[in-house]
Amino acid sequence: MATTDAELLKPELVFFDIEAKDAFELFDQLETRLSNLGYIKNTWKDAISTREKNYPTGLAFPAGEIAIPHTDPVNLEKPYIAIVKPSSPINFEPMGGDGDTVPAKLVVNLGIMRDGGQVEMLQSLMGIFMDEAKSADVFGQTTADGMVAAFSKYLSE
Amino acid sequence: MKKVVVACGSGIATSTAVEAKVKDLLDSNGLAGTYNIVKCSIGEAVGQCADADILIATTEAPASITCPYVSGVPFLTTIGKAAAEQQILDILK
Repeated sequence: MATTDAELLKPELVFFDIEAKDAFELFDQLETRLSNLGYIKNTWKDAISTREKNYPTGLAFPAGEIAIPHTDPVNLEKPYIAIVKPSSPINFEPMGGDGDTVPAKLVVNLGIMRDGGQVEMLQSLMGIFMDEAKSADVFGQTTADGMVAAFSKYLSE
Repeated sequence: MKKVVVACGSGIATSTAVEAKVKDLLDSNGLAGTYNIVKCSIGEAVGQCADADILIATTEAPASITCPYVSGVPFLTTIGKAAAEQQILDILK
């Protein structure tokens, strides 16, 4: 099933040109892009912002900081996985509310609609970021095609 | 039978990832068959925790819970995992 989820990765959903100081500025910018591409409903931004405020998603791995914002499928038009590698880190609050602000070097926005889909995807994602070499590979990508190829490879393993 | 509540914002995504790790931890420490895991959203956790032995969540502990709380985040990031595992075992053994 990881293979199916990996098919949601597309170059049009990898963004290198987003600058945002925090999660909420990021959602502003992602909303425009994702709705232009037809992936989200007009309820998405409020839903994901509220969710992030109540249940933040910053995760500090030994290999680097990421964030995995997500919201309920009811706010999506179709499933997607968007990857943002910002020019400078975007501040997220830590998941669990314990610890310092997480300056995310990579943001993976999971827009998965199938029951259970987010779970397998999340477990595969955690597997990437728990691994130094795999993390270094994805953190180091500079093109959309390269990013999709790197994630697809590890998520399908 | 111990009641283990595992929760996250939705009760679907990170809680399921944490549930799998907690299950492995408990079973590999000889606790298989001595516990039930209830997975739920953090909104439902307060009610579920009324008769639970432990809450493991990827969110902050709700103010009104009455059972011990352990953060589930170390099971995602691996940072502080050994300490979290020990806390859980101490509570459930």
